[in-house]
Amino acid sequence: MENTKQLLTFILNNEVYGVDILRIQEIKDVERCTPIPNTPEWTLGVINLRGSVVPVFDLRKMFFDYESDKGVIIVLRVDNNGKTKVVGIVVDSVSNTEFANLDELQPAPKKDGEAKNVFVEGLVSIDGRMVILTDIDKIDFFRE
Amino acid sequence: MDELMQVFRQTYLEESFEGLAAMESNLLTLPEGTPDTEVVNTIFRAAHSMKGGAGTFGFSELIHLTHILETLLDEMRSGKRNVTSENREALLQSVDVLRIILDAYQDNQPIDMTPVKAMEQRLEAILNHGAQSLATTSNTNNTATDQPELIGYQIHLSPSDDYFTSGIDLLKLLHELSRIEGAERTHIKARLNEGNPLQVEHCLISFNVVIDGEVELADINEVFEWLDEDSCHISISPIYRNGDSSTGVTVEASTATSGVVVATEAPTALTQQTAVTATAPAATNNGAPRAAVATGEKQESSIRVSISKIDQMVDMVGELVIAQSMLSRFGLLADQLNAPWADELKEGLVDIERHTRAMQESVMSIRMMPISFAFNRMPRIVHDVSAKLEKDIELVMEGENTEVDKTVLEKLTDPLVHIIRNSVDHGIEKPDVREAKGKARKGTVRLSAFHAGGNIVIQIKDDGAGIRLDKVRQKAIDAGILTEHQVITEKENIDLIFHAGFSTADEVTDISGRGVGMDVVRRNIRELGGTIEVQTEQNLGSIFTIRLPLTLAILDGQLAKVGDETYIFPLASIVESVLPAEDNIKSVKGTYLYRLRDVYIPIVRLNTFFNRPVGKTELTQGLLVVVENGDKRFGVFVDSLESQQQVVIKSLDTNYRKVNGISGATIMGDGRVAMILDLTELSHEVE
Repeated sequence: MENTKQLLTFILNNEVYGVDILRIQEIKDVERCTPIPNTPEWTLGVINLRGSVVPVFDLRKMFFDYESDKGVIIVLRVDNNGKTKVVGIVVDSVSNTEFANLDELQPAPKKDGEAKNVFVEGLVSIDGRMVILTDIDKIDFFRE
Repeated sequence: MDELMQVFRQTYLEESFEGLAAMESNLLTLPEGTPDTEVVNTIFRAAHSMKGGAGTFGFSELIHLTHILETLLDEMRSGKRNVTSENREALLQSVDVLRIILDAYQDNQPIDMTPVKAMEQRLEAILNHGAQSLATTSNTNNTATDQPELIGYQIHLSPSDDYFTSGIDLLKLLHELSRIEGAERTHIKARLNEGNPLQVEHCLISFNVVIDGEVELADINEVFEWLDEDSCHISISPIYRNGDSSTGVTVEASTATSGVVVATEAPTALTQQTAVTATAPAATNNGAPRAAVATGEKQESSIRVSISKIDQMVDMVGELVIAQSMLSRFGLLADQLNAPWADELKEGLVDIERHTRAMQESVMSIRMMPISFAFNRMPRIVHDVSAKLEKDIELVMEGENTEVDKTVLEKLTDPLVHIIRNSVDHGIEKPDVREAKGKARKGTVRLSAFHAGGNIVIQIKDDGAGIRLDKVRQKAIDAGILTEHQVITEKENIDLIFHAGFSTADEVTDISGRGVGMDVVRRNIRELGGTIEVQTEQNLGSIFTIRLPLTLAILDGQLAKVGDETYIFPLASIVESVLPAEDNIKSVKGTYLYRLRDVYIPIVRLNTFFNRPVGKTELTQGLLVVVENGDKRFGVFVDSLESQQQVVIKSLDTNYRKVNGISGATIMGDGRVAMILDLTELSHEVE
């Protein structure tokens, strides 16, 4: 098991996604955000994370065109032009932590025009289930 | 042991850099001719302590150079040698060389000995010309005794008992005295007349004013022109160098215990050009080492603390402010519950609030430093640049004791240097040109700092040629910023100089004019949350006005509601708030104006500006907050106003990005985040 990575897996649009667990800061229940004016609708606003002001983005609105009252916020670190920023992403639910063998990474079948293509890195099989590996840094959270 | 040495070494280096700054500023004020012993002494002491410490740390390169320096300075202070422009220039350059050496020690780099050796040789050459200088010394000494040099005036003012009925504000006259052309320093001493029974309507104070500097008697008389001889007795007597009255004054100034020192009362007003002799401890400004070194007064003891420790404290106090506002809600709750302990709780909460505020103020004041730390570099720059360009320029600095946040100070220095260089290079003309225009040969650059309405204002004013707007326009067209026939206002024309890649210098010099100037200046100032404005008048000069917020970390805020959303106004910008009356609302092409006492002000609706589907739409249902930003006044429409409170500013950039109309966010007492309004950006909406 040389080239392995521990992932946090989460559910989005009935699919299983995985993100590098070392980036995760914490997982929170969805709470009321303070809206930031003149930002895209998937930018829910900012929350107070023990004294820091952290923006929250709803990945479901951003990539899959659906809304839901349920969900959790995954607070993680992203790289934005060399600067580390702490952001929250809203997903349907968090499922598990698992090890993935990156040598077995397969290219993901991409359908043209699908918004999620930007952050999908590939597919890995964990215990017979397919997990979509994500590259969170590819998402442009900060656009106007 | 090693670690301890390291600490001492660092302290030594820091002190030496300060010493160099003191040497430099004193050298710049050192007049030619017979040396001013006090000034030379100060320079000598700085060089001497540097040499002493260098021995301890084995900085041999430093020892030799400072030793030669000492010899030269010693000859000056014992009167064996005159100050000439040649040896003053040499001394100034040796400061530069010493700085190179110290920089190298600081970075643990090997020292480039070429400039050091050259400097040593130059100083030694000057030392060997001792005999020649001696001859000139005796010469000037002769003339000095023949004609005593006038160095100032002493004025005694004793108002009559019924002076107040004359209606002339005596304080204003005193301020006027300090502004007389040529006045370098003004000492004002007030004395309570003894013997008279104390009566409210009677003026029982007399004043003794000493003005140092080359001032004209006529100018002094002009100040008192309107003063009736019966209502106030005035006597004016000249002071000569080494004269009796001058020594009398110095003794008086340093031992003034019986008199009242007026100057401590209003530092903002009097610091303008008036070097206040600090006799009362209240006037000794914390952290002004230069002033203390220069006057040789007793310094308050101090310790060096790293800035990161202070920042940690500022952060913690910020959290404390949030926790305190969170707690204070329970005071109201206890009232509603009619709890028997409500009063006690509220008392405690008030105490906490008061102490938090006091603590916060004192922590913030640690970060505050007099702006002189940035200003101090300017005399040297003006000196060097004007010498190079063969211009005759005087730099006048005012309000050096104005305090600003250290972060602001650090980021301010470069823009200031840039503007000053521009003024000297492009602004002030050569002496011959000035004479032809009917101006004094000597140009003036005035650098001043003062507080105004929650801001720090820094002005750089020159009496030079002004900005040639037609030339600016042409350059902009050449650079493709503007099209040939585009119509722009005068303000837009001036603002072109802030455009990236813009330079109007006919030829690119190594002083200014690389075209990377003013846009960087403006960006730096904006990063600090400030603004810069330019006024210019052909052949009369230009004024650059920089406005900066007092502190970057904490703001006195006014909470306002729009729907269920809370926004925060900087309290200092609010002029008033009004309930809009139907009759006063006018709509012009979709823009709403409000008539406020016969002046129409534009209205910005927060919900429209921010595209939020919340809040009231009918103007008469809500509240108009009248704000002032720069020179613009406008109304911001909100639903209602809530409490005022101090808020800790958190940047949105840290984890997000800059948002138009928002200067930052803060965390409220209930733990939620609220947005702080950026009024400058809101004001662009109504342009």
